[in-house]
Amino acid sequence: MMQQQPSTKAFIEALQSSLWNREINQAPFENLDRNQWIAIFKLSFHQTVEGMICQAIQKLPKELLPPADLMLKWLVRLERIEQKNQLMDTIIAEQATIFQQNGIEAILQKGHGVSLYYAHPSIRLSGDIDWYFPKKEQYHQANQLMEKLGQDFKIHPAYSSGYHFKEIEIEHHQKLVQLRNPFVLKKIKKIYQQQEKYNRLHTIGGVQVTIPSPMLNILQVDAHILKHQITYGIGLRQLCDSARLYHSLSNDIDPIALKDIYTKLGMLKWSYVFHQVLVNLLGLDQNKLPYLADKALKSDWMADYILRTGNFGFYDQDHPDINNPGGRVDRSTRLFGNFKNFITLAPVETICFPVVHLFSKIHH
Amino acid sequence: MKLRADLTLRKVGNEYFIVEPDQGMVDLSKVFTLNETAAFLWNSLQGKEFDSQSAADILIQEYQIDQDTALKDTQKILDMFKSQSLTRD
Repeated sequence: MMQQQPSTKAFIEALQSSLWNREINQAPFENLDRNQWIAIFKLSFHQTVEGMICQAIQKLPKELLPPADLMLKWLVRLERIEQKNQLMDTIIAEQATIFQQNGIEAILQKGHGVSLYYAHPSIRLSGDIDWYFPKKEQYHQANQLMEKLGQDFKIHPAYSSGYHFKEIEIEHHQKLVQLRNPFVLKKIKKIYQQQEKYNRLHTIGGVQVTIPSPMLNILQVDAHILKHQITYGIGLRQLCDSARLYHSLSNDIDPIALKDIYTKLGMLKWSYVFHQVLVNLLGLDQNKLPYLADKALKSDWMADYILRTGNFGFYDQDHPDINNPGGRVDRSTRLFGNFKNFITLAPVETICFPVVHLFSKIHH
Repeated sequence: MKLRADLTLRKVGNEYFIVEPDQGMVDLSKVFTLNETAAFLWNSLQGKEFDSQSAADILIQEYQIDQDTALKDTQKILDMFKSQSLTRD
């Protein structure tokens, strides 16, 4: 098991230290050789948590620090992440102002709408900026605006569009909760209508921006994780998001209502295993979980897959996507493998992937 | 003059670093190492307008050294900051 390797143990300790803003335990870092540090360095990149790992290991005493060349690379990366996050804050503020001026209701999804709940938001790597538009006509209005103001505007399958705005990738979505099961769309819409009055305002770059209510925020992050686990995989960055939300919002959500939502959306059985991974791998306090499984469940297989395959499954050494830039290798083997793993945990959502994927290709 | 506000001083082990990352495809990032005194001065001068004399005064107060030594040390450090474009006029 990858989790038992000394380099993985050290990596997990650094990640937990940053995630929970606590002192770093030095023991896992004693006697690490250069190759093991290289393994930690690579793992931090593959899981897109290099900012968090760098921040944590800076606190190690001099004799336990990584080799200087690696440390410098990490520092450069950390600085880049912080600078990009600053830039993204200004872009979010600018776009939020444009939407507000045009009477468009836009909700900041994932990324920066979640990093607010981190102890150190500026070191969380953000890929892009995601906006959700609850009203269809306003989604189209926002698209028209950004087709003029942004660059490389494209309509994506599955109710989304994407473009660049001052070199930052932006996506517009018509779905906040990105599950593929078409039979739950109405339920999700109803959940949103019940929850939207609890949406929150946060000041980003001096502008008030709307982020989803605590329940919706947890739901959208978890659903996004499940969606990707069913296909090629997900990395630890997204798991950290979920762990931070459960940690920060445990007193702000109705646990019975959340369990009911996960039951209705076909995510409950999956969530039992997933929650176990958050506790065992990331050190989330079990008391922060909204509900517990009746019996102990095996979750190491899920943790090991996440560790082994990295961000969106791009770093699976058995199926190296790096050999096929912009694409995936061994699609059918990997998809079938994950189909088998998730069919018992989230049956309808798992079955819907091949069906919806095919429909979406024909439709677009 | 003023120090650049977009750069962060970081302490790793016993050493101090300022990283100026390059966001381009080819990595032209720069890393500057600072000694204890330069790092102290960097932190003390953050966000302030200063010249050699006002910077030297900070060193005199902190290290209780004489005016000549403080001015000489300050000038060396500020020359390094300027030559590496870590300051703005």
